[in-house]
Amino acid sequence: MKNKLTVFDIAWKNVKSRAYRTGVMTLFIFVLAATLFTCMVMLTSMENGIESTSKRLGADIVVVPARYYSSIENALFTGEPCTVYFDKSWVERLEEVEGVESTSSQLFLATLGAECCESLTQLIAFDEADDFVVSPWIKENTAKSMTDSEVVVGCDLGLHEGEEVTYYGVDFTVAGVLEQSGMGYDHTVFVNLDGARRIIQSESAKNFLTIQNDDFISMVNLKVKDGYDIEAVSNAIATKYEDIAVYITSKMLGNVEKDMKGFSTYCKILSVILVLLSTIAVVSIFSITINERKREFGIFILFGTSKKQLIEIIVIEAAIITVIGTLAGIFASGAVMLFFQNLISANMAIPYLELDFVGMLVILLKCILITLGMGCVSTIYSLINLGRSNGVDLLKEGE
Amino acid sequence: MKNRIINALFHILTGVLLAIGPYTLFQVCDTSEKIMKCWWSVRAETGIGILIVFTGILSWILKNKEARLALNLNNIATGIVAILIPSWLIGGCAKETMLCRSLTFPAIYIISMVIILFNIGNLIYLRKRIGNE
Repeated sequence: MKNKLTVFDIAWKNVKSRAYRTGVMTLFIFVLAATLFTCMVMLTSMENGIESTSKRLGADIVVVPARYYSSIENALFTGEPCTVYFDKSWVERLEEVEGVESTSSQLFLATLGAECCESLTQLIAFDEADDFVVSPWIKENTAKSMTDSEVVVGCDLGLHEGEEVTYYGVDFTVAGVLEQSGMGYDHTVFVNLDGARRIIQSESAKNFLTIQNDDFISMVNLKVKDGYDIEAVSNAIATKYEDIAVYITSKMLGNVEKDMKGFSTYCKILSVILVLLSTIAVVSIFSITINERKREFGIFILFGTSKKQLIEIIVIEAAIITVIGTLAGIFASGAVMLFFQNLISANMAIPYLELDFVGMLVILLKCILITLGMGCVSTIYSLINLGRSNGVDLLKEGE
Repeated sequence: MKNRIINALFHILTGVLLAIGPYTLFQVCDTSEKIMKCWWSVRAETGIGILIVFTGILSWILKNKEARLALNLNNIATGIVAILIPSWLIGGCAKETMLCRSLTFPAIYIISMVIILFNIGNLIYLRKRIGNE
């Protein structure tokens, strides 16, 4: 009894003995699963990145010098370093606008790119006393205030707590490493105003920066009072002052979301085309091989195998091929995504937050369900044909 | 014969990729006055690539299955060393967005993993063939 041949054993032997057919079908499923998995992981990572960015932006409105808007946007969303000068007197002027509850300013400085590993890095200086944008997040991560010789760094800079770093010839100690945000902050070094003052007054800075005192900032963040319309306050500022760009933070993300929607549409179209093509290909291969195997099925029936068992054999064969192709596709796609994640996030120009284990598992299960469903559906035509014939007919047709 | 040709072609191709890829297809940054760790890692990978090409040629010449099995074992170890060079033995730049960390090393890891998996597969195949004889 131990050596009793089960339906699964027969299906498995069939899959193994028809290596070429199994290989071609597995390849179709492999490509489908790899594409589906890649598209799903990238889209979910971008959605997470945008959600995380919207949490981190903190302010209702940002005001920047008109010609520097794209630089600031790139620095915030993708971490592309920039140095932006904006007169500090703008803070007072903006505080006078009706509806503005509070302001906080930030100074953006790009570090010097002297050597390979010391490529340009974004430095953001902020005033801990009035900052409501990055301070809460930094305190959440480091649980202490910074001194003028300390910096807090983004997680992608490869620095560790307690490490010594030098910017513009000024030495700092890394007081903490921030958790991943998926936006430009992951490549950014945060320093308080006193620390920024040390940099500005350094010899190196004198040669490279055009500011010699701390009367300059780069961006003003505004919080709007309760009961005031953010758009109305933004319009009031834009009408009152020239040479500045006023942006509602939720709309800044709107542009990014628009880019993401474009990418998402391409991904969905690609996935649908691939699912259709793979289904057609697998259905065709299955139909052809089942026509060729009519004699084999006829013998099975004449030896007492029920049609239910035959159907089980065919469905199990499809399931085995689908599972192998899917797992191989997901493994290959997952490995490429894992190893090249930094390259992907750097080239997306969209906030990109890598998925955690649970997120990956959910996508993996979705992919398996889709491809397994497709594999089983592709056998339906063959099963209907088989159901209509009896053993003798199958033997005759197969001759 | 078929197995020997596939083995040889695979190892020559992956070996050439490991040896030349970091200077062409998945390049590291240009060197400045100060030579960085990633540059040394890539130089070591060139040596590993040459070794892989050499074992590819050997697997073409050698007809003895036991000897080819030993070559497979050697290639698995070489693949592991190819991964360890950039990740632990020598290393690269600290910043994750640098070319070496985002492009060159991941490409090396993937090629090395493919080499290891291929050789494990071939090892199992040859063991079966030897057992059947």
